[in-house]
Amino acid sequence: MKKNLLILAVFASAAIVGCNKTEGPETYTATITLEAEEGVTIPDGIEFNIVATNFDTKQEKTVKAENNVAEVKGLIAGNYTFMASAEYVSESGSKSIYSGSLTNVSILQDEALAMKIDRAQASTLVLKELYYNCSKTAANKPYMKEQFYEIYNNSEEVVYADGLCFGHLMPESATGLANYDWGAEYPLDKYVFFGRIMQVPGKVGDKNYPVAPGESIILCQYATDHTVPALNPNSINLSSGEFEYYETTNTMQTDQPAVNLKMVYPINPSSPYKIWTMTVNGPAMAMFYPEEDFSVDKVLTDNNNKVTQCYPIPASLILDAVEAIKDETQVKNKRVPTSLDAGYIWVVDDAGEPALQVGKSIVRKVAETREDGRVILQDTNNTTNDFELKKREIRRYGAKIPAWNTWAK
Amino acid sequence: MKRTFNILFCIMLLTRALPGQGQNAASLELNRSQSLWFSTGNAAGMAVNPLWDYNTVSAVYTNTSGDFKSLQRGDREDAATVNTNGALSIGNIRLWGDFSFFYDYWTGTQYNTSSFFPSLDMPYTVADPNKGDWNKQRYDMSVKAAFPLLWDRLALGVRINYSTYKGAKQIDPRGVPIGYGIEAEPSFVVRLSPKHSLGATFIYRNGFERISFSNVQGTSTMVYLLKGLGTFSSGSVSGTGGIGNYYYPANTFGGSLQYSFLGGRLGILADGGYRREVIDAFQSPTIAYRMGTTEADKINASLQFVWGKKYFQKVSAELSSTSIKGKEYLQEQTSGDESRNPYKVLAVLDMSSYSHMEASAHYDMYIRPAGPKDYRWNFGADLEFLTRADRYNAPVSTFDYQNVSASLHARRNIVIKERNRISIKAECGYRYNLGGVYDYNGSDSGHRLVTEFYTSEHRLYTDDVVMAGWEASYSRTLSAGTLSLSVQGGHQFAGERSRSILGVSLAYFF
Repeated sequence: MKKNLLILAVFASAAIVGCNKTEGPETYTATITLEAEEGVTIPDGIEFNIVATNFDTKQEKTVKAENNVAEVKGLIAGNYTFMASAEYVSESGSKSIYSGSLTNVSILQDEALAMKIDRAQASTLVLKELYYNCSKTAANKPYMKEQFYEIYNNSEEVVYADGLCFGHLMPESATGLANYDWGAEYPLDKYVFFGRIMQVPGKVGDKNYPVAPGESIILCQYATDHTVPALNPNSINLSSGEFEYYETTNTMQTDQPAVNLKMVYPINPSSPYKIWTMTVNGPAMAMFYPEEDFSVDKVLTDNNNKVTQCYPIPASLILDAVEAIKDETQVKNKRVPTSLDAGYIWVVDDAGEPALQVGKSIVRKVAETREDGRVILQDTNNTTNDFELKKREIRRYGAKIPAWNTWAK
Repeated sequence: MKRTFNILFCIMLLTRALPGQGQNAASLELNRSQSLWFSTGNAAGMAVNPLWDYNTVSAVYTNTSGDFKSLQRGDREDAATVNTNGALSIGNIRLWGDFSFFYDYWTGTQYNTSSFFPSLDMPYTVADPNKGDWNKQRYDMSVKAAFPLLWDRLALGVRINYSTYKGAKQIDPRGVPIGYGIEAEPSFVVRLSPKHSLGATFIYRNGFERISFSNVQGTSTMVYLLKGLGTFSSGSVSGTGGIGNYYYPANTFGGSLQYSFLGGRLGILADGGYRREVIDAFQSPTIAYRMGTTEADKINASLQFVWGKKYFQKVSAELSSTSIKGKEYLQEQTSGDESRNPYKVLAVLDMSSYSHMEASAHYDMYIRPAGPKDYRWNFGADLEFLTRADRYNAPVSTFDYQNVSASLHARRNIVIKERNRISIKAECGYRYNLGGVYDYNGSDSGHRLVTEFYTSEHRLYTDDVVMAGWEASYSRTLSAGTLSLSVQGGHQFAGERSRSILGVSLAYFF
């Protein structure tokens, strides 16, 4: 009896599905030709991965290019981001990443597209762990003083942090004011626009702050043990942090043994900012070595459209950049040019919902672990691929403390 | 309020009091069973197969509780309904009218920010995971009129239905749906001979719903803009980029054909119809950002047989098939000026489909020793087969199931000293699941919409269920009519989960 009913059910289901069988939306093919940027030579035999991502469905298709041409088939009509990347290790052992992207491409029919490929030296210093989301006190109040940013030497050579700059890009939250047009002099794919820049003391070329392979430096808002009862037992101990921002008129903070960062932008020596915070809603962050002194003359100001100020830095100087946003609705408002970083990430709680003050960091993934235990972190210039969420922790994966940090216990 | 009262007053006029003529719940039940044409939308059929005159007014309170439910329903639901309906002739025009007011309060609902009528057939809605309450009220009015036979052959008729509703979610993010529907179904019947008749109707329905969103307790809350089977995009209520009001204009066209044979002791009626319904969903009429469109084709057919005098029997079979396409839009904002219409549609995509078919058969026997308007015993059986197949096309996700259910019922009417009546009814049934799978292949497989909501919905439709129901009522015939007090209950048991509805009603038949 059950078998007869099941057969009847199958036929009826097939009939009803057959009557309304929909083939789904029509699909198209995007043929992408990879072309080298001016001054770049794509090595022979390098194999590019092309990833096509539909903005609405998030569906991804990955194909390999042959002779620098890739056919991505089966695309439904929609807006897509196409990203190409390939890794190349030269005979001398240096690693380069060749990458390119096309964003916001409407596919409404079969399309032939050209993508420019640029070359980036795998960065020696990378942004390893970024803790901006914060946590809450036992009284369920937001606790913001514990923000920190860990920078890791991902290479085989000693790097010097003297003069290194780090900060967030404008707008501070990824609202519709991202991609503001500052004019022909500052094309959006060639510049990044900082809202605040913190600098390690010293000039580029000085050697006061060496960072050996496998070592980290931690930049803190306040490099103290935040777990003491007077602050927030739910927080983290940052007393071993290398750098902090301390402004002498700030009565909420005491000067710790960590080296004091300079706030080089905004340039306001008569009324400096008392604290250094980033938005918990997801900042875009980047670091670079400056090639010239900071000057008020370079500050961009436009009080129309409620965009106030920012400091432009050429994208070619950026060592590493990360795009953190609040949630999926802000994806279209990326602040980091896709040529520097093609992805994004946001913090979610344990239920998978975008959340604030849940004590999680965005953490760069491990690409490989060397025999001596030193990790090499993944760096494909794509936040989506390179980062994951973890409960905040300093110097994870065994990152070591620089020798000149004598106050770390 | 005054307009509502006027509508109610008109209905009451249509159902004006007549001297009590043995009207009671049993007579109403037989009245509707024997009037085959009344079960169709063809109002003109009342000219050849009319209802007996009757009037009734009733008030019902029900309480529903239990965890065997959709997450969009309440852990507990309290409902109050007031209804009046009746049939009579004014001159040679045969009339029937029905007015109902429904009030519902649901506590502990989830994953429904916007829908007054949550349904798997409308995917383009807004959801959130916060558990909260819903407050709903609805008015529904129907009128059927059949005009006298022309040339002893042709009868014209019309059926009109008007409904309006308003709901309010009681916790942030809050959705307030307000809507109406008006349906007109003109009809005609051609009496080919004293026993054979043909009929046809044309259907048009217009509906509209507007949903506004707000936060009372906070500034901005995250919501899911659903697309079907767990696929969604993120949005927020209030805050930067918050969603605007949702609008759902709906239009339905259709028609039906009927054939009847009304012999001495045998009656047959065949009815078949088709409807096409299109519902658009969009935000903000000034910029018309489209959220989706459903296009539904609905086919239904039924066959009824009635015969017998003392042992009045009815057999009916019904078949309905619904096929819905879900369309999404690729749009481009052409201008930042929201006072115009900046969204241009670049492509329309067939992204999903929702199909279901239901076949059922029913049998009832009424033992009527005292005449055609009362019965002492009723026995009946029902058999139903239901299949559903939903699909999201890119990436492919499916949601389907097949169930068969059977039930038996019996009622005993006991008359005590002419004016008193006790009625007891019992029924039991079983739903057996023949199979079904929910297979999600989108990018958010770990999201709670998939792991909690849709998984729970699928389990709701695929669990085997034991069903039981009962009713007990006492009626007293008064000088002008019959007053009836009833208590009833219905229970579903699906493994560890269950759901029960208990109700009390007071009705007056006159």
